[in-house]
Formats: sequence, structure tokens, C-alpha cells
Amino acid sequence: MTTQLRGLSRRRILVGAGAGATLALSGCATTGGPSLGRVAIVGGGFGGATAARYLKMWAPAIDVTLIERNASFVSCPISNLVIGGHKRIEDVTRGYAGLQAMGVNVVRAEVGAVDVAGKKLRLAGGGEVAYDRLVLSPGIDFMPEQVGGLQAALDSGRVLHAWKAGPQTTALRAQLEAMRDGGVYALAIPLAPYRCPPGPYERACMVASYLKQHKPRSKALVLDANPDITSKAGLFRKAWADHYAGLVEYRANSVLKEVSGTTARLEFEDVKADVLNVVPAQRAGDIARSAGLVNMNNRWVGVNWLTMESTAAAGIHVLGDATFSAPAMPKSGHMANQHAKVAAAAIIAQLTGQPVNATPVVMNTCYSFVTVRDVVHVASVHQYDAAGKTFKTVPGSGGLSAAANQIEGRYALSWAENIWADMLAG
Amino acid sequence: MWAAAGNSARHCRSYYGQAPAAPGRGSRTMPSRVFCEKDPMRHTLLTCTLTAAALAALALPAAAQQSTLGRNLAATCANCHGTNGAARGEMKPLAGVSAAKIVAAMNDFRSGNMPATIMHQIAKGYTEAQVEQIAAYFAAQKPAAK
Repeated sequence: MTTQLRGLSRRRILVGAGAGATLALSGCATTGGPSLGRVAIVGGGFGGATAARYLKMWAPAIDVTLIERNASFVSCPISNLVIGGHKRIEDVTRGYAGLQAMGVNVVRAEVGAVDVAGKKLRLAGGGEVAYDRLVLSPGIDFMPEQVGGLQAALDSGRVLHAWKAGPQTTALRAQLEAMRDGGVYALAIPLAPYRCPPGPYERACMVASYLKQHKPRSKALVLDANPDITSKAGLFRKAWADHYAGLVEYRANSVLKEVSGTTARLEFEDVKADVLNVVPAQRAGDIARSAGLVNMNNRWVGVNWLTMESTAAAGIHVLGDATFSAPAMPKSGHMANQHAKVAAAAIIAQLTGQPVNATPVVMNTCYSFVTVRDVVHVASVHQYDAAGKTFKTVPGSGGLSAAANQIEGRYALSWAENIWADMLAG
Repeated sequence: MWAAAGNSARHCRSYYGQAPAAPGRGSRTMPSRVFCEKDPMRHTLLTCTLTAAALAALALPAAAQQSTLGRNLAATCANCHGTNGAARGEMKPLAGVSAAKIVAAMNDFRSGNMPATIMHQIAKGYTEAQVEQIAAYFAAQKPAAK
């Protein structure tokens, strides 16, 4: 279709951006034909980058602007291997050049506000981005206010979350390297739902793998607010028994009440740690809240699963961890990628006057490293249920690894390479 | 009608735990498609959109819509098997593989005839009709150059 439209006149407009900068921009698509519409995407993680890639791949005549505050993408999946000392942060970092090469406008900026009625974004550094349809993929932000002293502890940098990959990841690695042999690493896990259900338990494995080799008198203490391990429970328990006996100690129903220095105060005891790693409770990212889209439990964004549009504002598609999950749907990078493809197909249909796909499918695969080589998975397939207006897992489908194994260790790394390439086109 | 931005101190920490670029730097590194509040393209864009929509409607008969469905379904495989089936690393490429072969493999995964780490669980999540659409889509893709 772009070929048919090519040759129509290309129009240009002048706009102002930032501190007096003036840019000449194509009002229509980068293909040279008229634009099918302008889609602005906020957040260049698994959801937003995938949306940009698939919109541009499936409909090159759509103007796609991806706004991301960081220069590069740093993957949460595989980042626990960085914490364990088995990978470098560079190994989980990728750039946006592939998306730029295919015609996505990648804007490095912070979005200050969404003008929902006016259909435009205000950038924190100045300038505006007007859109016909908006995609928000803001990930999570934290609710540290639930734990006394946590905000200050996080601000000081002494207590780390490392639940957004990047500087926090390398800082936690540095804390572990600096810890004495015989020290205690304590990991506090919030009540579900939170980003990446098996992630904390994988982290305990990766920290323990480092301690086992370099600081065997130390301990990895898992303080879980949940009544049990929330994902792959039997497989993690077996890994701790097989590989990390005496190193990993798991305590269920351990709700963190207060943080003081690196001491974790629970309801009935104080746990003194050398390295305290707190995963705070989470909610939809700030921009979803400031745009007025958080309408579920005061934490998440309800979405229409056929289009991924917010139930609070039509025309704004919300992806990934920020959404109020469908039953048994995990908050994961893989799932955010799948959300993005549903949204991309819907946006193209909406912009071209086609019916929206009434039978979308999404699926999830999550690999967790229990040693540097042995991996376990959980997988699920979710079909749209028209009666319930939600995604439901298919009975009898999905499941867990029978046991940790090295074949899936190799698949896990290939999964990462493939999904990073799928979202970033490079 | 601007929605208020969140607490700015929290914003600084939020995404991936990194502080945003300094304002001056941000405005230098930001050039791209940024529109003015009063967008003179508004009217023109509307015209473009309507024209394109009309063309799209003409250009998408039932067969095309069917392939769009196959495209959407096949995209659920791309996380592991690569975009349009062009897999990297140890994952099996699906681009250019015959539809019959993909359907047969999925049937074997489903029945347990083909041993697998994960595909026996995933195969059971798709209907036979969906598998056929996925297979047709991948069969029509160009295999990645080796």
C-alpha cells in the first residue's frame, strides 16, 4: 500500500522544540507517502520498543515516535546473571539504532505530562509531541511509602532495589563484591502482584552461586511477604536444596515493616543484613498515574484486551507491567512484548478503518537460572475470551520444566537474543 | 488540560533507576518529530488518513484479513523464534519452512510424539486452525540469509 501512496506530495512543517531549536519535519510518513497517522509511544522497554518495531514493520506509513528517557535499553531478564557475576551489564544492554534505521523517531526525553483531550505530550525538557494515538508502556514505579524508612534508604543508595535494570544492577553487584565472607545478603520480596514473579527467587539463586564460590561462609536470606514462593516453587526449592544447602534460607510470610540502615524490621524480629536488597511494592509507572489512567486498585491501568486501550481513556493504549493483569497473566517483559503486538495490530486496524482482531492470542515464556547453566521455565498461552472480555489461559496448556536442565540454559540465552532483536530491530 | 506530572524527585529515579539527562542536554539530543501545539498539519493529516483508510479498505479483501490474522498469530512466536521466524542462536528458524512441516511438528508436540522441553506445553495453547494460519504465514517468509 505504501507503494501505491508513494509519489503523493510530501509536505513539511516547521516546529519549535526545546531551547529554541527549530526542526524541519515531515508531516507525513518517512516513506514519502501520506501518513496513516501519528503514533507516539512513551517508554522504550519490552512493550514500547516492540510496539514501535511492529507498527513500523507492519505499516511503514504510520509516523512512529518513541520517547525514552535512557540512551540505551537495559534488560531486566538476564540481569540477575550480572548480579551473580556471570555476565556484564554490557551483555544485557542494547541500543535503539535498529529502530531508528527502520524509520522510528527515537526521542530521548522525559515526558512531563499527557494532554489527553488535546492529544499531545509535553516533554519535561521542553517541546511537545502531538499524536493521533498514544501508547504508554511506562513499566512500574515503586510504593516505598508502605515501608518505614525505605524511601530514605533507597535515596541514600545504601539499600538497592535493582528491580529496574541499569545502575542499580551494577551497584548491587558492587555491594556483593564488597561484602565480607560470612556476611548476610537479605532480599525482601513484596506481596504479589509485582514485576517478574520468579525474578526474586532467580536472584537468590544467582547471589548464592556467587557466594558459594567466593564467600561460602555467607548467607542469602529470602524474606518473602508472600505465603509461599510465587512461581516455580518446587523447582526453586529443589535448586536451593541441591546447590545451595546452608547458603539460601527462605522465610515465607515475612512482611517488611521498616528499614533502618541495612536492618530489615519484620513484624516480630529484626534481621541485620550486610547487604539489604528490597524489592518494593509496585504500581503502574508515574506517567500512567499523572495521565489519570490508574483505575484498578489505585495501582494499575485497566485495559480493553482487544486493543490494549485504557478503560479510562480511549485512544491511549497501555502495555506491559502497568496493566491490571488478566487472570494468571504474569507481569513480564515477554508479556509486554505480546501486548505490544496486539496493540500494534489494533492501532493499524483503527487507523485504516479495518475491524480490530476479535480473537487475539498472547503467550508467555519465562526462563529462570538456578545455576549459571541450569534453567527452569514456566510457560502459558492466553486466548481472548469474548464472554469474559479478558484473556484466559488454555486448559491443559503451558506448564513448568520437569527439572532444571542445561538445554534450557542455552535456550534462555537464545530467548534473550531473539526477544531483544524482535523489539529493537537489531 | 494538562495532567499534572508526578513528583519530580520520584521521576528522577523512576525508569531503570537512572536520573534523566540534564535539561540542556536533553534538548540537544531530542531532535525528532516534535509538533507544535497548534499543528498546521492537522487538516492535511486528516485528509491523508481518510485517503489511506479508503485505499486500505479497498486493498484488504477477505484473504488479506485472513493473512493479517496469521501475521498476528505468528508474531506470538517471534519472541523465541525470531521476527517473522528468522531465529537467532539455538532457536529453530521457522521462516520458509513448509506449512505441512510446521503443522506436523505442532501435532507431534501436542501428542507427545516429539520430545520437547517446552513446545509440548505451548502447542496445546493454540487451536488447529490457528496452527494452520501460523504455518502458512511462516512458510511464506523468506528464510534469513546464513
